[in-house]
Amino acid sequence: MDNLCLSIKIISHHLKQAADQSQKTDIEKVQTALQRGLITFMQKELKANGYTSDIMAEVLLPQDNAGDPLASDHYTFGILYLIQDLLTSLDHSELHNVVINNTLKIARAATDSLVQAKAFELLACMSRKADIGQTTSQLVEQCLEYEDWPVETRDVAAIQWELMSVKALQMEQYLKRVRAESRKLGDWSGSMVSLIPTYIHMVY
Amino acid sequence: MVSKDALHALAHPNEHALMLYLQCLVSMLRLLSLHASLPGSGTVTSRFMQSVYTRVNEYRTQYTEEKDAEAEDLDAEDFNSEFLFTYALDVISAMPSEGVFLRDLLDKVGTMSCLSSWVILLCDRNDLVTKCFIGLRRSRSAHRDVNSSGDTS
Repeated sequence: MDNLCLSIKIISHHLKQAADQSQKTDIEKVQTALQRGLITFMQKELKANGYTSDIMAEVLLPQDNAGDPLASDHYTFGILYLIQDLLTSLDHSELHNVVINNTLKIARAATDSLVQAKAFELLACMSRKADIGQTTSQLVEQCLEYEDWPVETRDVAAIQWELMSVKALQMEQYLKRVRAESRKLGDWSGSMVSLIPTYIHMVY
Repeated sequence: MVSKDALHALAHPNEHALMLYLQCLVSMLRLLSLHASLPGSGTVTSRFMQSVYTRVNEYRTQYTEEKDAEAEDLDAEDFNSEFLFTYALDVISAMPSEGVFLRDLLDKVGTMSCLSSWVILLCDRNDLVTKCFIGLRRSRSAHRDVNSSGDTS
Protein backbone atom coordinates (compact mmCIF):
# COMPACT_ATOMS: atom_id res chain seq x y z
CA MET A 1 0.00 0.00 0.00
CA ASP A 2 2.93 2.25 0.80
CA ASN A 3 4.31 1.76 -2.71
CA LEU A 4 0.87 2.27 -4.23
CA CYS A 5 0.49 5.62 -2.43
CA LEU A 6 3.96 6.68 -3.53
CA SER A 7 3.16 5.68 -7.14
CA ILE A 8 -0.03 7.78 -7.09
CA LYS A 9 1.95 10.75 -5.80
CA ILE A 10 4.58 10.34 -8.54
CA ILE A 11 1.92 9.92 -11.26
CA SER A 12 -0.03 13.00 -10.14
CA HIS A 13 3.22 14.98 -10.15
CA HIS A 14 3.91 13.81 -13.74
CA LEU A 15 0.33 14.67 -14.72
CA LYS A 16 0.87 18.25 -13.62
CA GLN A 17 4.10 18.42 -15.61
CA ALA A 18 2.75 16.79 -18.81
CA ALA A 19 2.32 19.21 -21.71
CA ASP A 20 1.28 16.82 -24.48
CA GLN A 21 -2.45 15.90 -24.52
CA SER A 22 -1.95 12.26 -25.53
CA GLN A 23 0.67 11.85 -22.82
CA LYS A 24 -1.75 13.43 -20.34
CA THR A 25 -4.50 10.96 -21.34
CA ASP A 26 -2.14 8.01 -20.85
CA ILE A 27 -1.03 9.25 -17.43
CA GLU A 28 -4.66 9.83 -16.41
CA LYS A 29 -5.46 6.22 -17.32
CA VAL A 30 -2.60 5.00 -15.14
CA GLN A 31 -3.70 7.30 -12.32
CA THR A 32 -7.29 5.99 -12.48
CA ALA A 33 -6.06 2.39 -12.47
CA LEU A 34 -3.82 3.08 -9.45
CA GLN A 35 -6.58 4.86 -7.56
CA ARG A 36 -9.02 2.00 -8.22
CA GLY A 37 -6.36 -0.44 -7.06
CA LEU A 38 -5.88 1.55 -3.88
CA ILE A 39 -9.63 1.74 -3.22
CA THR A 40 -10.02 -2.01 -3.73
CA PHE A 41 -7.07 -2.77 -1.49
CA MET A 42 -8.19 -0.39 1.22
CA GLN A 43 -11.76 -1.71 1.30
CA LYS A 44 -10.55 -5.30 1.33
CA GLU A 45 -8.15 -4.67 4.19
CA LEU A 46 -10.67 -2.69 6.21
CA LYS A 47 -13.22 -5.44 5.76
CA ALA A 48 -10.64 -8.01 6.85
CA ASN A 49 -10.06 -5.93 9.99
CA GLY A 50 -13.70 -5.80 10.95
CA TYR A 51 -15.04 -2.70 9.20
CA THR A 52 -17.99 -3.77 7.03
CA SER A 53 -18.93 -1.94 3.84
CA ASP A 54 -22.49 -1.10 4.83
CA ILE A 55 -22.68 2.11 6.87
CA MET A 56 -26.01 1.23 8.48
CA ALA A 57 -24.93 -2.26 9.50
CA GLU A 58 -23.97 -2.87 13.09
CA VAL A 59 -20.22 -3.09 12.97
CA LEU A 60 -18.45 -5.50 15.24
CA LEU A 61 -14.79 -6.30 15.42
CA PRO A 62 -14.38 -10.07 14.97
CA GLN A 63 -12.24 -10.62 18.08
CA ASP A 64 -12.07 -14.39 17.59
CA ASN A 65 -11.10 -14.28 13.93
CA ALA A 66 -8.94 -11.20 13.79
CA GLY A 67 -6.19 -12.60 16.00
CA ASP A 68 -4.52 -9.80 17.94
CA PRO A 69 -7.00 -6.86 18.07
CA LEU A 70 -4.17 -4.47 18.99
CA ALA A 71 -2.24 -5.40 15.83
CA SER A 72 -5.42 -4.99 13.82
CA ASP A 73 -5.92 -1.47 15.25
CA HIS A 74 -2.32 -0.54 14.52
CA TYR A 75 -2.75 -1.82 10.98
CA THR A 76 -5.90 0.27 10.47
CA PHE A 77 -4.07 3.26 11.95
CA GLY A 78 -1.28 2.71 9.38
CA ILE A 79 -3.77 2.60 6.50
CA LEU A 80 -5.37 5.83 7.68
CA TYR A 81 -1.99 7.51 8.09
CA LEU A 82 -0.89 6.60 4.54
CA ILE A 83 -4.22 7.73 3.08
CA GLN A 84 -4.05 11.03 4.97
CA ASP A 85 -0.51 11.62 3.80
CA LEU A 86 -1.56 10.93 0.20
CA LEU A 87 -4.80 12.89 0.09
CA THR A 88 -3.46 16.09 1.62
CA SER A 89 -1.13 16.47 -1.37
CA LEU A 90 -3.70 15.54 -4.06
CA ASP A 91 -6.40 17.59 -5.78
CA HIS A 92 -9.99 16.49 -5.34
CA SER A 93 -10.80 13.18 -7.04
CA GLU A 94 -13.09 10.15 -6.75
CA LEU A 95 -10.59 8.78 -4.24
CA HIS A 96 -11.40 11.59 -1.78
CA ASN A 97 -15.13 10.78 -1.76
CA VAL A 98 -14.53 7.06 -1.22
CA VAL A 99 -11.99 7.70 1.53
CA ILE A 100 -14.21 10.21 3.35
CA ASN A 101 -17.12 7.74 3.36
CA ASN A 102 -14.92 4.88 4.55
CA THR A 103 -13.28 7.03 7.21
CA LEU A 104 -16.66 8.03 8.57
CA LYS A 105 -17.52 4.34 8.91
CA ILE A 106 -14.24 3.70 10.73
CA ALA A 107 -14.82 6.67 13.05
CA ARG A 108 -18.18 5.22 13.96
CA ALA A 109 -17.14 1.59 14.24
CA ALA A 110 -13.72 1.86 15.87
CA THR A 111 -13.47 0.38 19.34
CA ASP A 112 -9.95 1.72 19.79
CA SER A 113 -9.80 5.42 20.66
CA LEU A 114 -6.51 5.91 18.76
CA VAL A 115 -8.03 4.62 15.53
CA GLN A 116 -11.13 6.74 16.04
CA ALA A 117 -8.98 9.81 16.73
CA LYS A 118 -6.96 9.12 13.59
CA ALA A 119 -10.14 8.79 11.50
CA PHE A 120 -11.34 12.15 12.77
CA GLU A 121 -7.89 13.64 12.18
CA LEU A 122 -8.05 12.53 8.54
CA LEU A 123 -11.53 14.04 8.21
CA ALA A 124 -10.33 17.24 9.88
CA CYS A 125 -7.41 17.45 7.43
CA MET A 126 -9.86 17.04 4.55
CA SER A 127 -12.04 19.75 6.06
CA ARG A 128 -9.07 22.18 5.80
CA LYS A 129 -8.80 21.64 2.04
CA ALA A 130 -10.12 24.42 -0.18
CA ASP A 131 -12.03 22.21 -2.62
CA ILE A 132 -13.81 19.69 -0.38
CA GLY A 133 -13.36 21.25 3.06
CA GLN A 134 -16.85 22.59 3.60
CA THR A 135 -18.56 19.44 2.29
CA THR A 136 -16.47 17.24 4.59
CA SER A 137 -17.23 19.32 7.69
CA GLN A 138 -20.94 19.30 6.89
CA LEU A 139 -20.89 15.55 6.30
CA VAL A 140 -19.19 14.81 9.63
CA GLU A 141 -21.42 17.16 11.59
CA GLN A 142 -24.52 15.74 9.92
CA CYS A 143 -23.32 12.23 10.70
CA LEU A 144 -22.68 13.10 14.35
CA GLU A 145 -26.02 14.81 14.71
CA TYR A 146 -28.49 12.64 12.83
CA GLU A 147 -27.13 9.12 12.63
CA ASP A 148 -28.04 6.59 15.28
CA TRP A 149 -24.76 6.47 17.17
CA PRO A 150 -24.80 5.11 20.71
CA VAL A 151 -25.01 8.10 23.11
CA GLU A 152 -21.59 7.52 24.74
CA THR A 153 -19.86 6.99 21.40
CA ARG A 154 -21.47 10.12 19.98
CA ASP A 155 -20.24 12.30 22.87
CA VAL A 156 -16.69 10.95 22.66
CA ALA A 157 -16.72 11.27 18.88
CA ALA A 158 -17.97 14.85 19.05
CA ILE A 159 -15.12 15.76 21.43
CA GLN A 160 -12.57 13.99 19.22
CA TRP A 161 -13.85 15.76 16.12
CA GLU A 162 -13.54 19.12 17.87
CA LEU A 163 -10.02 18.34 19.13
CA MET A 164 -8.84 17.07 15.76
CA SER A 165 -10.28 20.10 13.96
CA VAL A 166 -8.30 22.34 16.31
CA LYS A 167 -5.20 20.19 15.81
CA ALA A 168 -5.51 20.38 12.00
CA LEU A 169 -5.83 24.16 12.23
CA GLN A 170 -2.81 24.41 14.56
CA MET A 171 -0.72 22.22 12.24
CA GLU A 172 -1.71 24.36 9.26
CA GLN A 173 -0.72 27.52 11.10
CA TYR A 174 2.55 25.95 12.21
CA LEU A 175 3.35 24.98 8.62
CA LYS A 176 2.58 28.52 7.44
CA ARG A 177 4.95 29.89 10.08
CA VAL A 178 7.70 27.42 9.13
CA ARG A 179 7.28 28.29 5.44
CA ALA A 180 7.49 32.00 6.20
CA GLU A 181 10.61 31.47 8.32
CA SER A 182 12.28 29.34 5.63
CA ARG A 183 11.39 32.02 3.04
CA LYS A 184 13.07 34.63 5.25
CA LEU A 185 16.08 32.36 5.60
CA GLY A 186 16.13 31.90 1.82
CA ASP A 187 15.96 35.68 1.29
CA TRP A 188 18.71 36.21 3.82
CA SER A 189 20.98 33.58 2.24
CA GLY A 190 20.13 35.03 -1.20
CA SER A 191 21.14 38.52 -0.09
CA MET A 192 24.30 37.11 1.49
CA VAL A 193 25.14 35.35 -1.78
CA SER A 194 24.61 38.59 -3.70
CA LEU A 195 26.94 40.38 -1.24
CA ILE A 196 29.77 37.88 -1.76
CA PRO A 197 31.09 39.39 -5.07
CA THR A 198 31.06 42.88 -3.45
CA TYR A 199 32.96 41.51 -0.46
CA ILE A 200 35.49 39.75 -2.69
CA HIS A 201 35.90 42.96 -4.72
CA MET A 202 36.52 44.92 -1.49
CA VAL A 203 39.08 42.42 -0.20
CA TYR A 204 41.03 42.10 -3.42
CA MET B 1 18.78 15.23 9.43
CA VAL B 2 19.85 12.47 11.79
CA SER B 3 23.65 12.63 11.78
CA LYS B 4 23.66 16.37 12.43
CA ASP B 5 21.10 15.95 15.19
CA ALA B 6 18.62 18.30 13.53
CA LEU B 7 15.87 17.39 15.98
CA HIS B 8 17.71 18.82 18.96
CA ALA B 9 18.88 21.81 16.96
CA LEU B 10 15.29 23.04 16.52
CA ALA B 11 14.71 26.54 17.83
CA HIS B 12 11.24 25.75 19.23
CA PRO B 13 10.90 22.00 19.82
CA ASN B 14 7.24 20.99 20.20
CA GLU B 15 4.82 18.28 19.07
CA HIS B 16 4.24 19.94 15.67
CA ALA B 17 7.98 20.31 15.07
CA LEU B 18 8.54 16.66 15.95
CA MET B 19 5.72 15.57 13.64
CA LEU B 20 7.09 17.61 10.77
CA TYR B 21 10.61 16.34 11.41
CA LEU B 22 9.45 12.71 11.43
CA GLN B 23 7.32 13.18 8.31
CA CYS B 24 10.33 14.66 6.48
CA LEU B 25 12.56 11.86 7.78
CA VAL B 26 10.19 9.12 6.59
CA SER B 27 9.74 10.75 3.15
CA MET B 28 13.50 11.14 2.81
CA LEU B 29 14.14 7.53 3.82
CA ARG B 30 11.47 6.28 1.39
CA LEU B 31 13.14 8.18 -1.45
CA LEU B 32 16.56 6.95 -0.38
CA SER B 33 15.37 3.34 -0.28
CA LEU B 34 13.98 3.72 -3.81
CA HIS B 35 17.10 5.35 -5.22
CA ALA B 36 19.69 3.34 -3.31
CA SER B 37 19.17 0.33 -5.54
CA LEU B 38 19.49 2.31 -8.80
CA PRO B 39 22.74 2.01 -10.76
CA GLY B 40 25.12 4.90 -10.26
CA SER B 41 23.51 6.06 -7.02
CA GLY B 42 26.33 4.75 -4.85
CA THR B 43 26.06 2.39 -1.95
CA VAL B 44 24.65 3.13 1.46
CA THR B 45 26.90 1.39 3.96
CA SER B 46 25.28 -0.86 6.53
CA ARG B 47 27.47 0.75 9.20
CA PHE B 48 25.99 4.15 8.41
CA MET B 49 22.44 2.77 8.42
CA GLN B 50 23.15 1.09 11.74
CA SER B 51 24.26 4.41 13.25
CA VAL B 52 21.13 6.13 11.87
CA TYR B 53 18.96 3.36 13.32
CA THR B 54 20.60 3.69 16.73
CA ARG B 55 20.15 7.47 16.75
CA VAL B 56 16.48 7.33 15.72
CA ASN B 57 15.87 4.62 18.30
CA GLU B 58 17.43 6.89 20.94
CA TYR B 59 15.08 9.69 19.86
CA ARG B 60 12.16 7.33 20.24
CA THR B 61 13.20 6.18 23.71
CA GLN B 62 13.67 9.78 24.78
CA TYR B 63 10.28 10.74 23.32
CA THR B 64 8.52 7.81 25.03
CA GLU B 65 10.08 8.67 28.39
CA GLU B 66 9.07 12.32 28.07
CA LYS B 67 5.56 11.37 27.02
CA ASP B 68 5.18 8.93 29.89
CA ALA B 69 6.20 11.68 32.30
CA GLU B 70 3.64 14.10 30.86
CA ALA B 71 0.93 11.47 30.37
CA GLU B 72 -1.42 12.97 32.93
CA ASP B 73 -1.33 16.40 31.30
CA LEU B 74 -2.34 15.15 27.88
CA ASP B 75 -5.90 15.99 26.97
CA ALA B 76 -5.86 14.14 23.67
CA GLU B 77 -4.16 10.90 22.76
CA ASP B 78 -1.75 11.13 19.88
CA PHE B 79 -0.22 8.08 18.30
CA ASN B 80 1.20 9.81 15.21
CA SER B 81 4.73 10.29 16.50
CA GLU B 82 5.01 6.71 17.80
CA PHE B 83 3.74 5.45 14.47
CA LEU B 84 6.21 7.62 12.54
CA PHE B 85 9.13 6.47 14.73
CA THR B 86 8.21 2.83 14.07
CA TYR B 87 7.73 3.54 10.38
CA ALA B 88 11.12 5.29 10.12
CA LEU B 89 12.91 2.46 11.96
CA ASP B 90 11.20 -0.08 9.74
CA VAL B 91 12.32 1.72 6.56
CA ILE B 92 15.88 2.08 7.91
CA SER B 93 16.13 -1.63 8.74
CA ALA B 94 14.85 -2.52 5.25
CA MET B 95 17.20 -0.10 3.48
CA PRO B 96 19.27 -1.75 0.74
CA SER B 97 22.93 -1.52 1.74
CA GLU B 98 26.09 -3.45 0.98
CA GLY B 99 25.22 -5.73 3.91
CA VAL B 100 21.92 -6.60 2.25
CA PHE B 101 23.64 -7.21 -1.09
CA LEU B 102 26.13 -9.49 0.66
CA ARG B 103 23.32 -11.34 2.41
CA ASP B 104 21.49 -11.76 -0.92
CA LEU B 105 24.70 -13.05 -2.49
CA LEU B 106 25.22 -15.51 0.35
CA ASP B 107 21.61 -16.64 0.03
CA LYS B 108 22.18 -17.23 -3.67
CA VAL B 109 25.40 -19.11 -2.97
CA GLY B 110 23.54 -21.10 -0.32
CA THR B 111 20.79 -21.92 -2.80
CA MET B 112 23.37 -22.91 -5.40
CA SER B 113 25.26 -25.15 -2.99
CA CYS B 114 21.98 -26.72 -1.92
CA LEU B 115 21.08 -27.27 -5.57
CA SER B 116 24.53 -28.68 -6.29
CA SER B 117 24.21 -31.22 -3.45
CA TRP B 118 20.87 -32.27 -4.91
CA VAL B 119 22.50 -32.66 -8.32
CA ILE B 120 25.32 -34.75 -6.77
CA LEU B 121 22.76 -36.85 -4.96
CA LEU B 122 20.80 -37.34 -8.16
CA CYS B 123 24.00 -38.20 -10.05
CA ASP B 124 24.90 -40.67 -7.33
CA ARG B 125 21.45 -42.14 -7.54
CA ASN B 126 21.73 -42.31 -11.33
CA ASP B 127 25.07 -43.96 -10.91
CA LEU B 128 23.53 -46.42 -8.47
CA VAL B 129 20.68 -47.11 -10.87
CA THR B 130 23.18 -47.57 -13.70
CA LYS B 131 25.24 -49.91 -11.55
CA CYS B 132 22.14 -51.88 -10.60
CA PHE B 133 21.06 -52.01 -14.21
CA ILE B 134 24.49 -53.23 -15.33
CA GLY B 135 24.58 -55.78 -12.48
CA LEU B 136 21.11 -56.99 -13.41
CA ARG B 137 22.09 -57.35 -17.04
CA ARG B 138 25.25 -59.21 -16.04
CA SER B 139 23.37 -61.58 -13.71
CA ARG B 140 20.74 -62.17 -16.37
CA SER B 141 23.32 -62.91 -19.01
CA ALA B 142 25.16 -65.19 -16.55
CA HIS B 143 21.90 -66.93 -15.75
CA ARG B 144 21.20 -67.27 -19.48
CA ASP B 145 24.71 -68.69 -19.98
CA VAL B 146 24.19 -71.20 -17.19
CA ASN B 147 20.84 -72.19 -18.63
CA SER B 148 22.20 -72.50 -22.13
CA SER B 149 25.17 -74.61 -20.92
CA GLY B 150 22.71 -76.80 -18.98
CA ASP B 151 20.65 -77.29 -22.08
CA THR B 152 23.63 -78.29 -24.14
CA SER B 153 24.86 -80.66 -21.44
